[in-house]
Order: sequence, then structure tokens, then C-alpha cells
Amino acid sequence: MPEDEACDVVDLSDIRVRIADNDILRDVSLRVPSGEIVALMGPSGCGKTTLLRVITGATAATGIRRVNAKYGVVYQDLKLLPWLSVMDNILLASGSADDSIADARALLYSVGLEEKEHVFPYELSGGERQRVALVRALAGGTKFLLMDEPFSALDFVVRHRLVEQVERLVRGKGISLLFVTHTLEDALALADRILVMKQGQIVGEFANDRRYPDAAELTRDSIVRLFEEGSAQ
Amino acid sequence: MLHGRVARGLWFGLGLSLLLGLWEVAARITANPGLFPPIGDVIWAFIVWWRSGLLVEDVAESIPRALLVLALAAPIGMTIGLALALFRPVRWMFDAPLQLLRSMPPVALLPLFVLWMGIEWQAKVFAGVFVCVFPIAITTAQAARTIEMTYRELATDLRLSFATYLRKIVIPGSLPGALPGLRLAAGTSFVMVFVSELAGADAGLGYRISLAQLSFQAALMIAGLLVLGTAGFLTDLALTRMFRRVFQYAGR
Repeated sequence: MPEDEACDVVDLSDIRVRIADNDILRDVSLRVPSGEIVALMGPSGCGKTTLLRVITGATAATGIRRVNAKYGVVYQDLKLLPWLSVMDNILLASGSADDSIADARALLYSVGLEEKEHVFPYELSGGERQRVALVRALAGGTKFLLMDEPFSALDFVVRHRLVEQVERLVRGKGISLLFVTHTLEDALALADRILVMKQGQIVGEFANDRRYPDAAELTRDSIVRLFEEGSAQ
Repeated sequence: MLHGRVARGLWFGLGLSLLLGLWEVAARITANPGLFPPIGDVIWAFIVWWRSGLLVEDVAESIPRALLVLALAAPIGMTIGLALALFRPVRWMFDAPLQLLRSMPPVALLPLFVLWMGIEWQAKVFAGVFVCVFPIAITTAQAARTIEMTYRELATDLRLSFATYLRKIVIPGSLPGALPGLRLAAGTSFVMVFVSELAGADAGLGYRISLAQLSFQAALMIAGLLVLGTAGFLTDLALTRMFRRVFQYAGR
């Protein structure tokens, strides 16, 4: 395996975030190897989004933080710009050079939005907007994708298709993915590894080998138990 | 039940006749047409004013000045607003002084400007611009701060240059938010035009109204006020329409 593929796209150790005497994150260490898909689960307010923001540098933290790949983010609120067309939203960072446009068109095609290039976000459905945000995050050679609850607020069919598209794109291009989700089904369907957070700490880590349905069943049970412990306290 | 445009038109007509009716009743009760003229007198005063050619002259003197004030104040106010929102040191330096200046009654500033610049049109425009800049700057700054909070993270994650961030995100995102300030400023600009013509002028709506007062022509005063009000209303309407057209994306 070549050297750059073997290295981790992100390497965090002993990350701590304190805001007004509260530990938002405590002793968090996380490595995501190149090409791996990691799901981040946990109750609301446990620090999942903060962890993503520590990785992007939007939230200041103590500890060691190394990001070794170009990252792209799909935000929970998407942050599509309503005054820019789909194409202009995607080209925000890269500018309108010919190869950027070709790259954007290829990505749009791969998520079935090739006809929507000149359309504005308000003319799109929720699922289409989500895919535009995905394409924008991937444009320009992203190697590490961060997604904050990308599948929430979508109906079952749309959600299922989006999970498939994300997986195809990410695996096809060897991109690493770290995504926050509230839905165990999404985590089990997509992730190689599932991390469970509680009160600012990573309290559980589960390999998710989808070749063995029995193993997935066990993983599911363990995660559910871990969640129940939290709510019983 | 009537629906849509017809119903709206009917209700509008009803409201208008109610107001005019009240006016007529009040004029009859006071029974002093010299001080409180009935509508007929006001319409007549308006026609005389128009026929004399002075109405056109007065409108041509006042309205372009109000619009010029607005046209100058808008870009200045928007620029100040963006600077306040984007650069914290600018905010720290100038926010408090701006709030203080904004709190001064616009009309009270006029004597000072007259002292500095005389009663020429430059003084009137300068005074108007000076007071109209504040509401525009403040609403633009508020809108730009909201945009900052929503999109700063995106700009950082996409590694956008400051110029791109400004051009593609902050400016198109904030300017629609300047509309409430612009509408306030439009109102103020008409106030300033009126007041500055009291301080010294030889034509204009404010001048005409004060002249009418000196000669006890209440009907002409009211006619003048109605013209001023209509001009203000039309400016407000035009601003709102223009913003809706230029910034179609706002509110989506």
C-alpha cells in the first residue's frame, strides 16, 4: 500500500473542549484511516457536532489535532446559499475553471442531479438539496468527508437512496467518511466502525462487519444496551 | 363573500370614504374653513397651485433632493454597516459613537449644518445624507452579522478568500436586510427636505407649506402635505418593489 493511503486522514488525541467550566469534550482520541467510514452516535448534546467542529478547526480545543487530508463538510443545516444556483454553490471554492466545472458535472451526474445545474436551492426537494450539499463537500478533490446528520428529515425512500449514493461515491473514490447520525440503521448500513459518545466522551467502539449479519445483530444489541444505560442513569 | 382584488378594492374605497367623510364632518363642525378647510377647498387649492406652474417647480425642487439624499446615503450606509459587522475593531471603535449620533434628533442637527455650509442645496443634501446613513448602516450591520453567524464556518471550511466571501456570500446575503433601514431613511429624507426648506429656500414643498402658513392658507398647506405624503409613499413602494425584484432570493 502506498504511503499516503496508509496514513490517517485525521488523528486526534486527548482532545478537550471546555466552555464556561463545562467539559464539552473530554479525553477524546480518534483516528480515521484512509478509506474508512465511521459513524458517530450518541444522545443529543453529547458533543458529536463539537467533535466535527474540532476537526475542522471551528471550535478551539486543547490536545493534539492533525488533519492530513483535504476535508469537506455537509452541515446539518446544509448552508446552501439561496442566491446561488446549484452549480455556483458547488463552484464557490474552486472558481469556474473548465476542469472544476467538469468535476462538478461528473459529481452531479453521479447523484442524478445533472439536470439541476442551473436551478436554485429553493426549487429543489429536501433530498436533492442534501445531494447538492454532498456534491459541494466532495468537489475539488476532497479526501475526508464530514457529515452532520445528513440523513435526518428525509423520508424513507429518499434516505435509503442517499445512503446508497454516499456509499458508492465514498467507497469508489477511497474517501474517508465521518458522519454523525441518530439512526442506528444508517450507522449499520454504512459504517465500518461505530463510535458511541456520551457526555463528551467516546464510550463505545464497535466494528461493523456487514458480511456477517449475526455480527451486525450483536453490534446492534450492544449499542442499544449502551444507550439504555445512559437513559437509565 | 367577495374575494380577491374586487373585495380588496371595495374595502379600500370604504376606508377612504370613511376618512374623507370624517374630515368633512369635522370641517362642518368646526365651521372655520379658513383654519380647517373642507376637502373641496383643498382640492381647489391644489388645482390653483398646479395651474400656476409652481407645483411642478416645487416638486422638481424637493423630490429629486430627497432621492439624491437616499441615493448617496444607501451605499455609504451599507458600506459602514458591512464594516461594522465584519471587523470587530471597527465595531469597538465606532459602534458607541454611532449610537450616540443616531440618537440625536435629525432636525436638531440642521442649524449646525446651516452654520457650516450655509443654506445652499449642498447643506441640505449633506444634512440629509448624514442622518439617513444611520438606519441603513445599522440594519445592514444586523443582517451582515446574521450572515456571518450562518456562513463564516462554511467560508472557512471551503477555504474561501476574503474577497470571495465578501462578493459571493456577505454582500448578496446582507443587502436585502438593508431594506427596513432604507425605508426608514426614505421617511427621514423627506422630513429633512421639508425642514431644510423652512430654514431657507425659494422653492420646494417645504417652502410652499411654510409660505402658505404665513398667509393663513390652510387649504394649500394641507394640499402640500398630501403631495409630500404621496411622494414619500410612492418612494417607499418603489423601494420595496425594487428590492423584491433585485433580491428575489430573500426570504427563501
